[in-house]
Amino acid sequence: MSLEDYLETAGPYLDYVADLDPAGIAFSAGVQQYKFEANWKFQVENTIDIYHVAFTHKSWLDILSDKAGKRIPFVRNMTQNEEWRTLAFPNGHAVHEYRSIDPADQPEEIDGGHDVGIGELLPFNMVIFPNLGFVGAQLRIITPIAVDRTRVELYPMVLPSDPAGSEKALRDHEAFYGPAGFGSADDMEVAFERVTQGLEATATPQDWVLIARGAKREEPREDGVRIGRSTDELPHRSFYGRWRELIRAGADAPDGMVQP
Amino acid sequence: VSATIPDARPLTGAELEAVSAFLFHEAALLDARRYAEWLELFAADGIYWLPQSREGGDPSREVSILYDDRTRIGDRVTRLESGDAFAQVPESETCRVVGNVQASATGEGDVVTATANEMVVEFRRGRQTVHAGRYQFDLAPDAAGWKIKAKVVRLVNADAPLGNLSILL
Repeated sequence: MSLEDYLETAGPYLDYVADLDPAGIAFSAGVQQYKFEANWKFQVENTIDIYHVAFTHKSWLDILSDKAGKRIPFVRNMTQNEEWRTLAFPNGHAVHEYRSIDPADQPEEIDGGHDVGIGELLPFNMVIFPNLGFVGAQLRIITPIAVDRTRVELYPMVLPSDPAGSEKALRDHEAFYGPAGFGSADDMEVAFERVTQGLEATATPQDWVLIARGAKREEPREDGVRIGRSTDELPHRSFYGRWRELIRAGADAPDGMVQP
Repeated sequence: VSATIPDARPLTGAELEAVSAFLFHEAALLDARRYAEWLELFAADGIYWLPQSREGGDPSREVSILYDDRTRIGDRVTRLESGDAFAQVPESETCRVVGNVQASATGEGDVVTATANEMVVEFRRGRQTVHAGRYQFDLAPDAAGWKIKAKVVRLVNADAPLGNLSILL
């Protein structure tokens, strides 16, 4: 399968990343690396999940609100702003976007309402199946080490035409991300390791995790992309659906190998 | 943050002891989680920096583990004291050793630069972790002793994947 066929309708989002700077984006700023004791798929979910921000990252939102002198509108946007939405693409790719990337569908004024001080070069979070992510100002690679051990690499994106803006994005990125980041450390603790402990709490096979939020209101688009609201677990379902297909295909294949 | 100081005058005797005592006090405040008092040690233009590479590159062009100005150091303390920094619920117990202290008068104003080795042993949720590295402190004299203009921690494993690093080093 060609890369174009694999990316399919998700391709324009990667084009958007590549076109952030006329000279192309650079990965000249080095890499942050962290590790945690949980399954790699939690970090994938976390990459395109907005819902957890209000509680897992409460301390960060409180700091931002304190600086602004008022409650920042993140939760209100998440529940009410129709530009905030989730998209599920063929082959398991998924996006949460804060505004459309369609040049014909741009608001007159970009309100920056999704700005939570993390270096927002991108108006979306994205996972290219299975383990490549884009968030804020970073490319993210998620590597399984064992069923309960994961390594993550964060490569900040540099815009060669805008050194000052790139430096600010680096500082904003560091505030939230990386092993000492205000956000990543809490994700490792809550979203990955404590969730793992919770899942291990009982040993009955009837123990399911529901990923059903918004399942009844998914809207299929003509091109096969499914659209959901910001808080819907549509990206999670898209990812796990494709993962299950491949795992099943592998179980059925004589040598256990499948080609995507 | 200067790495090499050509005109430096090495401190010895009582001068070196005073610098060492300041570093030991700083470490003791962190072990005791007396964050507000620790924050007061920093100058208004103070920097707290953990380079991502051992050599410590140029933070204007390279990502760091953290590169905090005084405002962000304050945010870090606010967060740790909020009770909502879940990476520190429960809080880590730490025990740190600062040694091999060397210090020089830099010739730039009255700024003193100190280097030291540090080893922080962290125990949390049944897991013990060692954070070892090299300190650099740039210290400016102040009525009460010194203010920290820069604290740099060059971890020996800065370029390896690190776990939850929500404690202060």
